[in-house]
Amino acid sequence: MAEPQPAPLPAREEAPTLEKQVIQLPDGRYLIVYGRPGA
Amino acid sequence: MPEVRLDPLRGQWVAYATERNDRTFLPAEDQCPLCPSGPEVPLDEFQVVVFENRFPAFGPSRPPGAGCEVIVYTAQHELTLAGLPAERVRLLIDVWADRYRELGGRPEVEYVYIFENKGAEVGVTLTHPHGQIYAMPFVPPFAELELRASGEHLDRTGRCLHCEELEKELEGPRRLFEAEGMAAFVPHAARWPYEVHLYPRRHQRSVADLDDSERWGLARALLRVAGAYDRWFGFSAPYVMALHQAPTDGRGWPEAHLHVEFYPPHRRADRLKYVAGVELGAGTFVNDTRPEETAAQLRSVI
Repeated sequence: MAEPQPAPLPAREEAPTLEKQVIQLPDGRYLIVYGRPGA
Repeated sequence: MPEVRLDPLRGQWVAYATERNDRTFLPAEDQCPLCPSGPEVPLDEFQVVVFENRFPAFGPSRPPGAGCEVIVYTAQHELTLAGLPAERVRLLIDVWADRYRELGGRPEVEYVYIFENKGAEVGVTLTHPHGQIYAMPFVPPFAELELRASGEHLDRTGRCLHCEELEKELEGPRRLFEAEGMAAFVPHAARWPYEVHLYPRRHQRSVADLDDSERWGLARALLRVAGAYDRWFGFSAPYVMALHQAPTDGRGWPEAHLHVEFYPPHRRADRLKYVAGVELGAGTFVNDTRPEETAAQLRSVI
């Protein structure tokens, strides 16, 4: 039986942008928020 | 305050973190500290967040440079890795790469260990989908053993041991799939029933080395493996997922080959495999299943 293959990915010319924001928490620890623009 | 002690008989580090004994334990869903606006993530909404573990096993000051981070995959409490969209898993991989570079760039950090415990059966205390990252001041024993074997093989033959094993596994009965630059199999000497190893076909030392296409491939492959466990067992299956990568001590580590290892604790849907007398006391795993058979079972649902 043929092995199932995932659907082809859309062609991409460049890697998606990674947004990153570092927040200092009141107790001194850090929180880093990651995301894609517009997502 | 966490500390590490060296066991002189085994030459292995042991971590002590007594504060963890009182950490949050399986809170009610409406008390989840990883949900938006909870005590750990004071934001109304987010995609992926990373924060310093309030109950670290290592660091941040003892030993210096060590640290433990929590990485929350989504704001949606009820999801699991297997249920995330591929785009979110791809974002998660980019975050892993960023943390590998940043934490590994600290001079005291020799190894960045990224992993996920899923399910109460493997000790999870918070069910919200998340993983962990340990910035370790030493190379942990399993990574050290693998690197020693692959380093000796490289010196002797000029070839990567992982690449050779991968070639053999993809020709044999334990192969699960090969797609989009990634390959998965049940290893020849699997310790755990349903253990799966997932590799990039190219010799890449870390998740940070993967190119755009390989990161998409890894995202899809992670979803296939995690989803296959759920489908085979018939429930949201627990597992430990561990990334093995090159140490970050400044050496080149040409013998390192990134891979992801999955260890589900079930030996069948209604029975768990326990690490007990032979495994704990003698260091030898006894596996109640044959890797060739578990591979065939997983292939039917992957």
